[in-house]
Amino acid sequence: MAIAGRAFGAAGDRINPVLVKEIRQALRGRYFKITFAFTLVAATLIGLFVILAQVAEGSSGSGRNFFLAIYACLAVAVLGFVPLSAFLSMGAEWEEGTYDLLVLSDLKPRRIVRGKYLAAAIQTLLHFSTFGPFLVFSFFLREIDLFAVGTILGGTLALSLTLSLFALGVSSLTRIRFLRAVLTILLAVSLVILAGLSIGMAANFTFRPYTLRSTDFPATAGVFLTILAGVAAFAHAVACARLAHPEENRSTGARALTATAVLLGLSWLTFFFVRTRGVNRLEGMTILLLFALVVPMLFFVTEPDELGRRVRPRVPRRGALALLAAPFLPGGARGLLLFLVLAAVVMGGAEAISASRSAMRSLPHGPILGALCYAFLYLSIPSLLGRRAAHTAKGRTIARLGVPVLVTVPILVPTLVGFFVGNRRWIEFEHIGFPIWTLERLDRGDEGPLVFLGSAALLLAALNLPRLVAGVREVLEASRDRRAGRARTAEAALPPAEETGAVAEP
Amino acid sequence: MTAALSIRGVTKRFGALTAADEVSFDVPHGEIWGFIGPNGAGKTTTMRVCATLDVPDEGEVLVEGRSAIEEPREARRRLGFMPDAYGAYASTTIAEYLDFFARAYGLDGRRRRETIRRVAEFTSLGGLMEKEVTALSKGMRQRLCLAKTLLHDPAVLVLDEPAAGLDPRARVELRELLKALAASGKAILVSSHILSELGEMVDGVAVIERGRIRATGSMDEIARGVAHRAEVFLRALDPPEATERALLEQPRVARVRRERDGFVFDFEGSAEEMADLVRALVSMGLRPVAFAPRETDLEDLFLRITEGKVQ
Repeated sequence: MAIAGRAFGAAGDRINPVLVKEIRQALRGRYFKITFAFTLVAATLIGLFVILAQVAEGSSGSGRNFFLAIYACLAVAVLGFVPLSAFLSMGAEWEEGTYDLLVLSDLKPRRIVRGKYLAAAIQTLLHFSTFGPFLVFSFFLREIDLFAVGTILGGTLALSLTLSLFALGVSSLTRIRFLRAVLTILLAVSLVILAGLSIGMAANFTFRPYTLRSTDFPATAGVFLTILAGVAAFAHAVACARLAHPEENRSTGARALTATAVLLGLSWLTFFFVRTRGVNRLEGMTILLLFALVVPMLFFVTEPDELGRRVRPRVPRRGALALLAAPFLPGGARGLLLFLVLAAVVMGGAEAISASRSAMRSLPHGPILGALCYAFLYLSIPSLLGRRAAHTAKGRTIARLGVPVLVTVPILVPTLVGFFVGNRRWIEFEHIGFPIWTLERLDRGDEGPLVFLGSAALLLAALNLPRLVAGVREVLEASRDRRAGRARTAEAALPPAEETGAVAEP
Repeated sequence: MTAALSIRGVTKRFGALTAADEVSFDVPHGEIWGFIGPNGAGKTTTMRVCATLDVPDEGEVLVEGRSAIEEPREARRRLGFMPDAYGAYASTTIAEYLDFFARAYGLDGRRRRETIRRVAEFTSLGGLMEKEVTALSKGMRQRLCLAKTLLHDPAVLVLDEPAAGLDPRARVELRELLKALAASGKAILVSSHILSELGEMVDGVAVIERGRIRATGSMDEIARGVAHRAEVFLRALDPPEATERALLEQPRVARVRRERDGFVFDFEGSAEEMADLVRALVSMGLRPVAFAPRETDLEDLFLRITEGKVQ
């Protein structure tokens, strides 16, 4: 008994303290009590209403309607309330002024994020367990396909867990109260939409369970789960990075994750190509992958160029290793370098995939090169122009906004001008700033736009070249410093404290 | 001997503003150092750098020899920081709050329970363990934050305005707590606006203004540094008009004013020159019965050293 008690105590000591605190706070807090009671009462009332309506209609006791009614309540709880509570819990650390105290403890950002995430996961499981009896009851009402129910609930659980992590990542993005309010609204709206879509999907699977038995379903489910895993991993990386000190290395984890995502993307590319042998799909997915790369890269290329004081002492000692690590170390220029490396991997991978299997026709290079040029231009212009402003959070935000501006303004401006002037030619104006039009032309074999795009990309590459070189050189210097044991020992390198009793002249 | 807390040439800029400009001083083990300066002088910035929460543009902070910049985790294990503004978790009791942070500092099992009991007792929170932290008074919350800061038994304490908002009794109790902590060998750097309180407990002070250190050292050392601007009390058996006239004739005397049964004046000069003044007054026929340079307290020193400018 004593041994069991000690083991239990030891296990309790190992539990993430943030998890213990969050669960304690959540179960005592009003938010959980209200939302939990609300969904439970709603489920009971709606369930009763559905049964009574069926009895009144004299229809056979179909469990499908009852299941859907209960599922709708569960979806609102686990896809809406729980992720929103995770969002609020992360925000509370800043709003209640406890963030500094948390960071000063021995807890690493990873542990803080996991503690909060696990607390959200436990809330989700609590909702599932509460709704369990209702769902079992719906099975007894018949006409329920167990596989469909399992798939729906499994998918919902995976989606809820991902959304909780996503909400934590989003919540960590800003501490500015106004922006937090905007994010709360955006997240709440997105969650409502997602819960609605999920209910729609559940209705489809409940009433047409045979769709789940099609040959395409496993691959579709695989893609769905991969996307969820990717979103969760990125959200986790973002939340950890945002909780870390700005001078810490907040970038390498996310960069490594991006590289992993690219490799995963290539794996799916191979899978679909092997199945379909469709060059068009391979081409489309390669272009999509190149454009998708812009999203995480947007954050990396707008970092300050210099290595922070807490990162320099952690650069690999070996020169060759430092050189390999350079694209993964923080810094805007090194972010651009990572983009070039990963873009080369994507393009090389696509080429290798198409060459390894006999295809109907060879992989067209024009549109892929065009996409590469666009992605590079979108990233390199804000990175180059915003490199001085990148030292402040505001400067980085402005530089990051540069990418969506570069993408949307050339498309929207002629359309809006045409709309207000009443000129149809302007509305339908096709030009090089419109990637879809350009890629279509390139696909048709007209390589004219590629000359212009390629020239612009080369010019930008030339302008960025000194930064790229300096970025790599800085890493090599830091590595050399470490080899030479020059990692600053402050005792030797810095001036002594002032003489005591010294009084400066006013 | 390595100082417990060593601040070396710390410079921190926020855009065009230099919040801390080559700030340097040491705090030895077992001593309490006051960190004083007007609002916006750079105290909190420097303290946040010490606590590893900010990284300076230049300079270094060593906590028992470990760099707060390059080894923040090592430095944090040796340092306890009490910020001037901090929050408390809702729906949490004092016991749970301390338990959470004790776990967060890696304390487990019996060690955790024993540590919580000890710090709660030390900060007189023992009887309030089941009270919700959000329901505590300002003084109790300060005690709770101090208790939290002591959980991992840091050798260095950096306390930013711990006495702000406390009533006189709570201030006295806090002072006694800090003295007890210093007596146990901890180095304490404490900032405060209540200089009279600080003056009674500090072993040394660092005066900062507009990001620059204006003076560092013990009270006596600083007082000696500014001694050429002493305030002196004089009482003589002669008629007041004669005493005043004699004082006004002296070259280093200024701002002569009557006070009770004597005169107070400002004297600019060294100890030797002060002795010369006494001789000159006596040689003029004056019969002084009391001549006393006033004791300099922290408030006097602060006012003399700083110019009252903010950035």
